[in-house]
Amino acid sequence: MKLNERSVAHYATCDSPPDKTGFLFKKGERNTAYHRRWFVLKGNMLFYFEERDSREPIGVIVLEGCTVELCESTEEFAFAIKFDCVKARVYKMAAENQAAMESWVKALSRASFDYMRLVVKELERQLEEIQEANPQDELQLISGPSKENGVAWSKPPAALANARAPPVPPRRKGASLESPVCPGTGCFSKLHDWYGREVEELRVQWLQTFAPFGDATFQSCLD
Amino acid sequence: MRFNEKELVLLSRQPSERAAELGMRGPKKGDVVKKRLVKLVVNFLFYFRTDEEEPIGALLLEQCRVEREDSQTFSIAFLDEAERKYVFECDTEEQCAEWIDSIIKASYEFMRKNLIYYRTEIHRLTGKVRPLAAARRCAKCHTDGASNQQRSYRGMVTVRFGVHIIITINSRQTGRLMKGDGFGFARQC
Repeated sequence: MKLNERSVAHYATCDSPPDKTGFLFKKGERNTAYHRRWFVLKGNMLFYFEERDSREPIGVIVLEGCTVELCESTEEFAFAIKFDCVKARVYKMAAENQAAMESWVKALSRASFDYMRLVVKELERQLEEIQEANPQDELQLISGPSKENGVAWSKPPAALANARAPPVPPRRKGASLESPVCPGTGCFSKLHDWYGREVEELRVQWLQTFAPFGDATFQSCLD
Repeated sequence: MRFNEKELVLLSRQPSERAAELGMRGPKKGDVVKKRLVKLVVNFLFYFRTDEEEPIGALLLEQCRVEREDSQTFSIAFLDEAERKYVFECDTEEQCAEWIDSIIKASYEFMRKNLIYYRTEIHRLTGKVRPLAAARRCAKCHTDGASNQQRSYRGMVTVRFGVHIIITINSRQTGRLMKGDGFGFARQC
């Protein structure tokens, strides 16, 4: 079966932040020795490289429909990734210490798209419940697709399309006392600078909401 | 690059978000449009020859751009090779719009953004940092699974959410994991 391998390999090394990285020992298929490899987990894809600074992965394990279990092994801190199909391969792995093993097992068992989808649905349901209990002020839709490098990249998340977007800044009526620039001004760069300041302030506020989460990495969001 | 092909083929047989016969043209010059059964499963787009069990190929839908080419046609291009487009011809404008929407939402990265958004909103409205800790209901049928908790020795908690999902969570109360303890996420039905 064909796969868009070049693009998949690019996904492994592109600058999107990985969910977890580290060295693990992986048992070979034919050569049954354990080989030390550099592993990169991104979403439901577990890539492995020969070295930490290798440019291309040797391979990838797609983590859908699998379970992760601790297992009996000559190696310490061993675990296995098992799939539920006939003659499925069992990927035997070993970590370097107890903490690493537990951390990897936790991360890998939550990595599937299926699991993520359920978590997102559950949070969406919870948010709807909360919003129904606490009606908010009229929220404005964010109009238009978000752009990246001048190219329409992706639509805002589904939730935004349901008029539950993050609140937009309050509308200004006429010239504000704090600024010489009236929104009616036709000079774009002045408008840009003026709104830019407010956007920056809002952004700082928004980023601060991550403070309780410590490092706002994806894995911590799944707890 | 090696990949677990057998398991990917198995994945292509799972229930899909969307499946239809579309005209598909590969990205190489000289590729022509061919009728293919196109199936969207998680963040993969599989394509089959009609009536064949095993897919010809799969496209991982991460770091890609979906564009409308004309009223009934859309394309998928990957960021590392933006000029190479996979083109898909639909039967109607509506079908085309639905496919574009589904593919955009099919990426893991897209779901991640949603997750972060919901979590921060819940936190903003309730102050709760770990909303999932409260989730004891089946995500599918919403029955309360809290009564179905089983606590095994060494603090492993298996929570059955209704009859639909089993999520095994380590409650980490008593420390070390033991061999045979498992973490798994498996659908029961």
